[in-house]
Amino acid sequence: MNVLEIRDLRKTFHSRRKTVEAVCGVSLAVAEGSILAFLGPNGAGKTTTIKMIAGLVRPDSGSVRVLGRDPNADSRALGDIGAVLEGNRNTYWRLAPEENIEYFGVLKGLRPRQARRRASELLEEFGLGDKRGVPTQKLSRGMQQQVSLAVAMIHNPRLLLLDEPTLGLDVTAAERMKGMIRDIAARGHTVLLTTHQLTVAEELANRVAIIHRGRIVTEEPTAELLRRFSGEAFRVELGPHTNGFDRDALARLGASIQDSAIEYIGPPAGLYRVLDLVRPTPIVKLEKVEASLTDVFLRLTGAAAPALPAAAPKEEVLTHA
Amino acid sequence: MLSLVAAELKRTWTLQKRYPLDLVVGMAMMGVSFYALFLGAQYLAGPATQFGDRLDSLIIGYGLWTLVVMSMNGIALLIQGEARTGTLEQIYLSSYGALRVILTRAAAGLMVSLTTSVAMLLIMLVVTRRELHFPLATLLPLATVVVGAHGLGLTLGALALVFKRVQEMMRLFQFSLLALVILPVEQWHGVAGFLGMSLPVAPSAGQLRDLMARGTGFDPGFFALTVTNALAYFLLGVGLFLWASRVARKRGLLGQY
Repeated sequence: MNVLEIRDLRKTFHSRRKTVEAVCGVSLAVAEGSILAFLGPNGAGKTTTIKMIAGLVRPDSGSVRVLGRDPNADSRALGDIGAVLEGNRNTYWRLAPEENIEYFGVLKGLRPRQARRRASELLEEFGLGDKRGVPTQKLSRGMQQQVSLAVAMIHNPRLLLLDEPTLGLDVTAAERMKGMIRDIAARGHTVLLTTHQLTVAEELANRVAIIHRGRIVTEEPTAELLRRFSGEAFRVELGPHTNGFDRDALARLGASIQDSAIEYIGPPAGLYRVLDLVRPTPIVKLEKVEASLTDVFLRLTGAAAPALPAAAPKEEVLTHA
Repeated sequence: MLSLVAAELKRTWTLQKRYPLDLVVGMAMMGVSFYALFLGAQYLAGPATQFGDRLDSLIIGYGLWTLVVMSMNGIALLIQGEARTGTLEQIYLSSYGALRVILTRAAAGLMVSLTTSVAMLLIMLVVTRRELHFPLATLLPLATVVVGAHGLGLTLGALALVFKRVQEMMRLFQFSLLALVILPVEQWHGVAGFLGMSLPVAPSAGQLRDLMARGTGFDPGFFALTVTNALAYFLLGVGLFLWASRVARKRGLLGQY
């Protein structure tokens, strides 16, 4: 069953000087219990889309349905939505975590006693039990983000919207946050998260939608996406060479030079043309590599990826000295 | 709805308690103001002096002016603050809707302030061994003042939603309000009288003047007019706030400051 369905969503912002087409015909469906990563560079339209889903920005056209209800027209839909927007700016910093969670619980329609009980459960579950009475402003950024997540989960929403949930967190806090998101999805909640951190999407999401300039360029299961592109990624390690290469011609074929190696993403037939271009330089190693989301992202958007983890070797095809 | 009222009262009181120095200094300043009023520093009462120079009248006038300013500025300041801290969007995600949350929050703030003010006033009465005598009927026009002023507050809040910073507008509203409280609209006749009665807050202030300065009895007909006036401005404020919310959603302004 799809918890979220978006069809042909569009939004254009007008200001005195310019018109920005933020979202141009985005369509998505997210199944119950899954995590969909909405991936794209800054300004791609991720946040605008997530806010249209939450009913905080009104779409120019298109439809949003959360369990069949439109959050922009039917306030009952908000009962099925939890949202963490703009990092740690979701709670009152002068209130303690417990006070924040209880207060927002009532705002979400719980009775005070229910909110109090649920706040206690969430504080324990998220490891914040010993910080329940500390003003939120005195907590680390990671803990503040956890409090925001607890606030979003207070009413047990079916759909959780997370806008850049690991942004600005250190490695430990980011790992903890990712673990919490996995646990939430494992309990049957549906998660839609935006990120421009490719590793976050790769590690967490069942499905990935890549958005670029307001348009979705691909949307499919993460594993399939990587598999599709992995069959087309090769790394050629070169021996000592004196002649320069025709970098432009290599780039046109989808290859890039990194130190003494060439990375190529494309159909296998094109690999021979790449090898022709580096002839007669000795080839030390030729291997097929598993594509990361970074590779996919670069290929599909042509944009500079914000984080570039090294591609993992998958299968050695040919090795010679 | 009662849950929301309880939650807002608890939140307001928790914040007051968390910063006790602010609370103590605020109460001390209030105490000093009351004490000065008791000693005859009429200018502290602002436009209240027109309600008569008796202590009772000064206190009622001072209360009126404080209520009006607090009710009017409270909502705009609240919206600006929420937009600055980033919690405004969470309020819009509430199942009660932003309007009810904001109004309840404003009312909770007012109730906490009123409680501390009345406590301070009672302490001052004991300390100075003075007594206050005023007809309980004065509380009725005071209540309509609060309702009408909240309508103006929602209007300012609507502007804050769309334009974000409205400090100068708040000053302009406050200056205009001073005139509205002072204008003797209850003595105007004909078209001027009708227009005067149509101005926000002015009829309520007029009825208070009748009760406190002129010593006339409570006029239910006049009170019905003040209620109509207050409700009209309140509903106007609600309408403008809902309209501004739609505009803010359309332009994507809720998350901006």
